[in-house]
Amino acid sequence: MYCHYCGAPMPDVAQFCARCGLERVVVDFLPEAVPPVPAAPAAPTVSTPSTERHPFEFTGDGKEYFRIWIVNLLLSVVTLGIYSAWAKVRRLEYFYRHTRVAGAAFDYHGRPIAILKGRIIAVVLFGGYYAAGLLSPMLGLAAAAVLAAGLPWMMNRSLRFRLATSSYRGLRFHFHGSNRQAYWVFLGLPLFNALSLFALTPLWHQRLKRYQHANAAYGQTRFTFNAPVSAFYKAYAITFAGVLALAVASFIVLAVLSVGVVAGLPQQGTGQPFLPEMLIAGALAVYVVVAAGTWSLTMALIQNVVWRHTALGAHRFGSTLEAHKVFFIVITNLLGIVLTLGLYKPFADIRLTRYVVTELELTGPGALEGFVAAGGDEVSAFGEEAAEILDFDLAF
Amino acid sequence: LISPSDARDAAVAAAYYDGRESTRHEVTVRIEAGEVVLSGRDVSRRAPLAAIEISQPLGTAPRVIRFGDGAFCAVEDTAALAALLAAHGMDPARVTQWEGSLRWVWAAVVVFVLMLVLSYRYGVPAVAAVVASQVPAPIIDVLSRETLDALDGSVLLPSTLPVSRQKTLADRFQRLRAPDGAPPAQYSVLFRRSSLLGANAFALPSGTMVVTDDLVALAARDDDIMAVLAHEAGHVELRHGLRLLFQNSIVALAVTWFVGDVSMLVAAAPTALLQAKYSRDLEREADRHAVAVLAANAIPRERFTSMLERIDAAARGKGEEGGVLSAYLSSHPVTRERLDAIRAR
Repeated sequence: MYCHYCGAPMPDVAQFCARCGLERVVVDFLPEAVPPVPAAPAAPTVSTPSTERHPFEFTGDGKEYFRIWIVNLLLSVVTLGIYSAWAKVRRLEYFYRHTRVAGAAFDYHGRPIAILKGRIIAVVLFGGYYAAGLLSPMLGLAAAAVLAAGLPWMMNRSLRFRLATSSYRGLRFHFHGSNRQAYWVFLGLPLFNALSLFALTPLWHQRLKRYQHANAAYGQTRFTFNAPVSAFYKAYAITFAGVLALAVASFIVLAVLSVGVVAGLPQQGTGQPFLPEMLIAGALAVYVVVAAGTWSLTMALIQNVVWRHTALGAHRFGSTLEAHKVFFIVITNLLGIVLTLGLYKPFADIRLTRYVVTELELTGPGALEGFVAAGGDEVSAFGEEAAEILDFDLAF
Repeated sequence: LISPSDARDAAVAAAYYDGRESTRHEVTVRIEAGEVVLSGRDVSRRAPLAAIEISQPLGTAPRVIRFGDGAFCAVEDTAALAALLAAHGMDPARVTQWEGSLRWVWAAVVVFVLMLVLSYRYGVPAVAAVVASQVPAPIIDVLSRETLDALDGSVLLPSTLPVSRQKTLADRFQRLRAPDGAPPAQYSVLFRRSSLLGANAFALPSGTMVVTDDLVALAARDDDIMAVLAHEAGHVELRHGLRLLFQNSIVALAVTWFVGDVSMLVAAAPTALLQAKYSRDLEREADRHAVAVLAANAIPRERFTSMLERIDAAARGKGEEGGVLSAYLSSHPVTRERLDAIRAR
């Protein structure tokens, strides 16, 4: 057989591809098993005429987005943040309409006024929480408890809003997750996770993704999600090992460098702040490398696991992110942002999005036609805004 | 050359979706007598311009023509659509014109950088100072008490100095004249022992000051301790504790919002760098206050500079055991510039 992702030949019994290292896809839940793509990475041909591969494309351009970004930013500042709701709509419209699969682009339908309302409520809520924390730690704790109790509901609303405002080929997405499930995923499981000293984190992550993906629908067609918990534990184990190796390696580099600096220093104790400053810069660099490494590894591994086990009807998704490429993009993006006083930010956003999107693909019988719409409903933007302030990234 | 009438009659290629099924229909879009007209092999539809929504240009992203019932057209050839709309007198929104103009974009870049530098240098400290001055006294008291309680349970141990000695020092500081001739503020001076902090002193926002036994031991005369306390009093008078809290919060929020997408953890590094400058600025302000207090009480400012040098040396000595880093990170990194600034005043 051949690797489903890179097309390299692999033994029938192998669980992982020797070339790209990706796990063999479990296809048993599909009505009919999808035949593997034969080895022809340059020009992928399809073995059965009914199965088509649709790689995702991202056509956004950094220079073009920069203009939109800087005008958005300036207008938001000049209007004391009010324009930021309009800016958000323009930003998302830009990214959605430049994301394409099977010859059609996505579209965003959020309304600025709805987003603005959500932002105002969120600011009042979290401002109240902050003020309560300043007044007295006990009052702050009480406010945090109230917020925590409301958070799952907000998350649910946020997911509803996000999907209901996204469309593809004229059909909206929908989110059918219940509040009961939300309370279990966002409140119950995290509590158990804390009690288990965070040993349940991969399990919680899997339940979270299952909540997001298995409850999503495109028109009337439901998404399915069948990633096993073991895949999440494996991703976390690899991340842990990788980060450990990265931390040890960068500390060795730092130690060698600082020994060299000490040896090369002619006289100490003259109040020269030279040595400590270099060491602080070194420690900061180690910190950034390890933090970015953690993020990149988790992001790439989890994203791949999640999408390889997500399907839309008979269409399967695939994701072939490589952690070292994500890491390179994240580190160079951060450097660019720092060196340009933030002006590189729009280019950074485009770069990362382009890589993540273009590594996605959709495989299934025929073109993406014949999906049918479901009845729509209006969803408020409040949940999403409140969740955004807390910085929970629930990006779909 | 296209004549104006040709431009008005142009047909633009588009993909039509009816909003009920994901099936794509190839159509052409024309504008006729105030109506949008779609025609294709299996689609023919017209709607008044007032009843449809044409999305604003977004760079080269496809533009969308939305109908009231959820049906829509995606236009890839945005240049052709823009020409058609312009021929019918429909100009793009002003925001789009700004995005399209190189002059506006460059102006925006200049304003952005200027704003960033100015708000970091002046805006954030000014806002933090205003907010800090608005925090009511009871809150400051609670905040300070909680902090001291937390420290007393962990890094601070009871002082081994005789109570009489503690009282002498505290009373002497209470009797110092304030620089502007105002009655001296009420400070409570507490003594604690701490191996972690070494020779050190700090002030809580409520005016409670904590002096370590090591600092008392390091002083050659009582005036040395008065000088350090005057510096700490500067932190209290100028509400430095709260200001730093707010300044750092604002910077952390801004950086996280800005870099947030990349990674929360990675965003912490530039935040720490940006915040370091603020604490250095505040140290300098407190030094200025100390110099004024010393002058008002006829204490030579050499008491202060020599004490700072001794604290610095002690921290460096301690640092050699605990690593150079800990010495540098100790709360009062004495640098040449700081001493020079005090002497030059």
